[in-house]
Amino acid sequence: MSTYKPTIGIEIHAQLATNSKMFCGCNNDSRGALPNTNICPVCLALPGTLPVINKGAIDMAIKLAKGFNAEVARTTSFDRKNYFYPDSPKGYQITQMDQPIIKNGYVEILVGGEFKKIGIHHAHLEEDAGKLTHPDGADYSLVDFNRAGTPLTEIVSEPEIKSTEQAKRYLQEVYNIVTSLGVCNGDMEHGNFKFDLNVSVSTDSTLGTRTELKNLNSFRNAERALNYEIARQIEVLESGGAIEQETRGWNDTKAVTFSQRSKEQANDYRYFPEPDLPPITLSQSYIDQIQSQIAVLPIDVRKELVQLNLNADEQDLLLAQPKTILIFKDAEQALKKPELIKKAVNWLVGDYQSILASNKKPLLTGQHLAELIELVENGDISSKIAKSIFADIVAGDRPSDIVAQKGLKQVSDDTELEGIIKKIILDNPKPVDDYRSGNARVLGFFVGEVMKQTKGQANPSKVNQLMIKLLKE
Amino acid sequence: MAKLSLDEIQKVALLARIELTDAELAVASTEISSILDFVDTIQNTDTTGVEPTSQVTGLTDVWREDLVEKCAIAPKLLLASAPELQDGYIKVKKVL
Repeated sequence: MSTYKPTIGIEIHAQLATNSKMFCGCNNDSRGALPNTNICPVCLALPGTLPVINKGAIDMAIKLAKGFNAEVARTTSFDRKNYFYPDSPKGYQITQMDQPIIKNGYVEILVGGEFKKIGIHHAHLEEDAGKLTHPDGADYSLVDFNRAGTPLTEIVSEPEIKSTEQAKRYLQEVYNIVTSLGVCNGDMEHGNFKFDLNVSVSTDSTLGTRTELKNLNSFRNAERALNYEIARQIEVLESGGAIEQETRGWNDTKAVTFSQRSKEQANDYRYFPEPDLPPITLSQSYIDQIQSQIAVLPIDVRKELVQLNLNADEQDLLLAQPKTILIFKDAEQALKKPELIKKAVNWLVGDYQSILASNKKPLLTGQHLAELIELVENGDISSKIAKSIFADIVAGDRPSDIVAQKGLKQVSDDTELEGIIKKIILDNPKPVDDYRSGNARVLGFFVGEVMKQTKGQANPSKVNQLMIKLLKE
Repeated sequence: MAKLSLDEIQKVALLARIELTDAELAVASTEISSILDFVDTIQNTDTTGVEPTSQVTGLTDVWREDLVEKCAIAPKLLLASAPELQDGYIKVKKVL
């Protein structure tokens, strides 16, 4: 038993963070807006209106293609997907079927310490529908068209995902890509990033009948729904039943998947080429120009972080923060040496995260972080002092300025330190005798005394070294 | 002539949200079937070497910059043709 292996394919809908909608100039950001205020004759599909493609959405798709190691179609066009539902004023959705803008890519995921490629079949552009609400107990529904016409990209994986863990990693990695490229705000609570999971199980290499889990919007629910659905399918098959190809929803409260029979099947969408939108042709030089704007790809950062021995949680933490990644990249460029770069990462996953929790507008730059690390490295300040001024640096201050202002520069000068140490040796004959008769532990007492007299600004390794030398004299 | 069954006609009518009487169904069945025959004739045309055509204007790359342009027509006016409104929402028949 339980020789069943799951096969999973994932469709992700990511809302694009353009300023305006996909086919009209309405504001694409309706957070906090009253219902039906970001609307116009185009997104309401009033008679005689025509859609016009948002170039910003095309540019974002070109960037995404790079993130997915994919081709950008040199000619891309739109199609109509017909259906009647009150969330769609036109009675169809403008989407892409024949010539999607992104083709043949892959996303690398890190599972069990190894990188695995998950194929991206294609990704296309389309428009979102309006939002329907169903007041409790009412015999009507309410429609808000603010979201109608919001650009979406639908990212379709190959059915190459072999476990719940892989599915979770894939979702996380795609999320990192769309957010770090700045094409999606990634606000999952507001439906910026939703997904459908196609699942089947089989005991051999043939694919079993699949079910589709629709409209999930959290990584945790994806994991729970997949575990449940895989177990359910195995149970049905083990008890001699057959899996029905169907759409299923996820009930979060009951933690079960349930059948959602729909009247219109996939083949009833009656796709045809969108007559109102001429095709888009993209030259290689234009594609290169847009893709050259990409500063860094999350997968490259992940590979570096793996090299720097960060664990998976720390990698995910940083990769979920595109701005922190940019700080890291700048610091890296300034520091160059791997052992110092590792220190920069430690600051970013450690102290920086605690400060982020309360400081919503951090002004830390990679240059400042690098400077702080070099101050410690050169023995100008102790790591303790570095920690104590880190909050100021996150608030935007330059490390060397703070050190100068507050007089924090470490005392590393031999003559100055020797003077202090000689005096301590003279003042403490008993511990000196103890040390000389073989009690090495009193060394700590002497170092402590030096620190006290220098208000913690003495370079500890220097003090140790000089202390041992002078005690032996 | 490939005649569509009444069930098939009914399904097409449902997809198009058109309600047909029995008499209309019978007429539609004959008419749509003859339209499909025309399509058959067209499909038999030899199109070797002919590019698929879904656009006749010859235009490409008709797009606009990603700028917000507030609609000059007030939402209230835009919603004037909605059957019913409630708190700024359009009220429709229950769909869930």
